Amino acid sequence: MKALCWQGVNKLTVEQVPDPQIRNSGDAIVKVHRTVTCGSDLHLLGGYIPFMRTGDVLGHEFVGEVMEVGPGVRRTAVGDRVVVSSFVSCGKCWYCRNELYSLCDNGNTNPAITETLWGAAPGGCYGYSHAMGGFAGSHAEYIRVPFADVGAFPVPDGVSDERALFASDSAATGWMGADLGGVKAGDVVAVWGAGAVGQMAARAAALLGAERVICIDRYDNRLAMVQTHAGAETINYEHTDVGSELLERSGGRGPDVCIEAVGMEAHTSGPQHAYDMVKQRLRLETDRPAAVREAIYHCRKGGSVFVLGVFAGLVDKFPLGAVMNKGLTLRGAQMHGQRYIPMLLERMARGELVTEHLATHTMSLDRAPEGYHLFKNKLDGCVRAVFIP
Amino acid sequence: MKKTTVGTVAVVAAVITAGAVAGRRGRSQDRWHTITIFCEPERLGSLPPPLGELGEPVEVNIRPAPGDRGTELSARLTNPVPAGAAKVAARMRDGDPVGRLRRALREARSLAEVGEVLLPDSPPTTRPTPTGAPLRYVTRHAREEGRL
Repeated sequence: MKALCWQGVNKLTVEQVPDPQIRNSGDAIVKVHRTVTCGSDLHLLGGYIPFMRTGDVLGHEFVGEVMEVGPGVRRTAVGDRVVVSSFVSCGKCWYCRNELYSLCDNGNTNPAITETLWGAAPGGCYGYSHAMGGFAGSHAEYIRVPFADVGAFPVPDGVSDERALFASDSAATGWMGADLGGVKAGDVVAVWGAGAVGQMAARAAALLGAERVICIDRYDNRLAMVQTHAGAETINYEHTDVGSELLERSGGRGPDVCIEAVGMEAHTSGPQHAYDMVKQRLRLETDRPAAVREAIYHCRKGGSVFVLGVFAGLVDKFPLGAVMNKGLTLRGAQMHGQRYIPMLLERMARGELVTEHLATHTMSLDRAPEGYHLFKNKLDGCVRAVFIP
Repeated sequence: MKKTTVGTVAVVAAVITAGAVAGRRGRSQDRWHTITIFCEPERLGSLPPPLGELGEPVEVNIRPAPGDRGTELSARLTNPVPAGAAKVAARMRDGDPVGRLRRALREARSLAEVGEVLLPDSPPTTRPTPTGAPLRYVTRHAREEGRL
């Protein structure tokens, strides 16, 4: 079959690779209808997460049709149109039973890598390096889906592939940030990053009753989207002082909940960006945490900061003093998709959650390297590039 | 401060000496390796599979985990295990018994919770390259290492 393969740092090619096979009784083979780029893929592409092998298939956010199931599959059937959670979770361990699906004890075939890095291993993730299980990704004609009864969800008839696609990861991640960040009625919520995940977090905050939602980015096309589709206010940090503006819009208190949806390759204006770039290049820090620093600094006393952006290792100049002295609650997670996807699909069916606008560029899988080029460099207004195998 | 410094140096020296002695002998007593499994203790029996297939005598302790977290399964090899340089050598030739015990514990959890052990994709889409050799080694042993 055809697949988009990682060939080295910033090298992608479309190749012929072996078809996936059923390996466990709970597996399904899914024919991919649509699969989409994610900002976190750029960390793999750029070599910031050094656990990729030549030929690894990228992609973890997809929708498709079930073609084959293993003998232990009960709920999922051949012919089902499904959206699949990007995390591989068994549904049986203590973490899954407590709806912390991305922390699954049985979903990562290579637990030693992340145990050594982080002290304990999260579950597996499609197309997200051998640290996360080494599962082949969705930028392919077919994909193996382990624990299909747990991670594959039928798409309601009224929801298009174009819309359902983003329930796989972006919408679930964004919703989790607002939910576990503790957004409630009357809150002022600030979201750093107006990519797909940031937009979904902003929309989730609005649906959960936030009084004001303010999204911060530097790309006007993205900020316009979040105004139109999430009902959020915006701040372009290249033209406006973020701190002053947030204080003014929150009665001088600061936002109640701050959601960081940027990750380890954060950009910021001013000398901080140059500082982080130099330290990252010299391997004195692995990740650039500018948006996390800002979220912590600007959050109100006793407020909540949720880190949605993907981080891999160590950061410098972390404002621990602000966390402690302001009594903040700091939390983060990979997404617990299985917890949110059914609810998100219902909201999509009712038209409360729209996502089609995120797919600014749709193209065949053959053009996926070009799609990543547009996406990585944010050319031609690209928010997400969607591939059709 | 001075007393603390002297104490620290003494502890470090003791650790280094102990490590060196263990390394010279090439063997040491295994420690307990413990994993929590989300099931009732009775479901595990007295020697949960595949711990009985290690080919090494193993001591097992099974007790309920607090807070409804399931069951804590502890195991250690009763024969002395490679230590120091011998441990490194055993790992390099894929013959580290402690690694096999860690793998068995992880598999015991998967068998009890899920009924089977999750397998990696096959056939792989990757191809071997010289720069990928270290990662290939790591993934080949990825259930045998870590912090268990």
